[in-house]
Amino acid sequence: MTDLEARLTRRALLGAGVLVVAGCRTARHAAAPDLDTTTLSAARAGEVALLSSYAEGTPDHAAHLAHLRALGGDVSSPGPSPGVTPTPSGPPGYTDVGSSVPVLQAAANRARAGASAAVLASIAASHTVLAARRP
Amino acid sequence: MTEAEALVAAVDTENQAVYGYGLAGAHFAGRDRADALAALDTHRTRRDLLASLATRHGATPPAAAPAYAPPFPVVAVASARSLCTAIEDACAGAAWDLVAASRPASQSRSLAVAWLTDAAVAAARWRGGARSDQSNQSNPDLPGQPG
Repeated sequence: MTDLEARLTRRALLGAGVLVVAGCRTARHAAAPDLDTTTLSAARAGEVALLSSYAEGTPDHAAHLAHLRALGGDVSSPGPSPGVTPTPSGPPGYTDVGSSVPVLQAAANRARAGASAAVLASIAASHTVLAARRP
Repeated sequence: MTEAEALVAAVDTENQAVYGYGLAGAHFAGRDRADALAALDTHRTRRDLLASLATRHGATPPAAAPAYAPPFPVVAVASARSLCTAIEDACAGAAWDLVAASRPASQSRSLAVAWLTDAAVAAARWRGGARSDQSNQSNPDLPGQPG
């Protein structure tokens, strides 16, 4: 019998430090000076737009704030974190969480940096779950 | 992690998912049982596709073991749901790794992006029905994110 536990708990036992790690990782990702920078900037603008739809302290607001931070942004601005080269911010290409999913998945599919692609794919996955919960 | 390594790891995760859903399904009835059986088929199909991709990348996909030890005792409906949640969280992790390791616009990337969403949706479905907190420690805001 092999050990299922290592695989199943490797991801399942993530703790409270996850968001801090996300901030560290995505600051690196956002620094990639290529097509991904524009894509990430548009995704940040999308999260800022979605954040404005929810009251602070609600689960949806917390989720979109986590997404924004994972993309290297923060509530004060849709731009990149300090120290990251500013880039033009395009429109997000969606107006609600449901319509964001195909946009984010397409961005994940074409992203050059694998780490950026993973963040975008993960946010698309989260948005799918959030959209399904809406009445 | 190379794309081939991520594919091999993904096959291993799906082998465990297929076994795990069989184990969990034995404790379910009604809709949960139907969902578990459908998930078993979905994971088996995806496992085969991932194995094919791994072979194309020159890797040897791992064969399924006869049995796997669950991370906690699966003795009733609640723990079976928790196992399903843990399986999907593990799949989200493997999908994240494959997205990160694969080339843009590749078949692996496309499959992994869709897989990550499927895993997150399934985890949320099982998490919603779970009464145990044993598998509820992952970050649903960013499915698959490594710690």
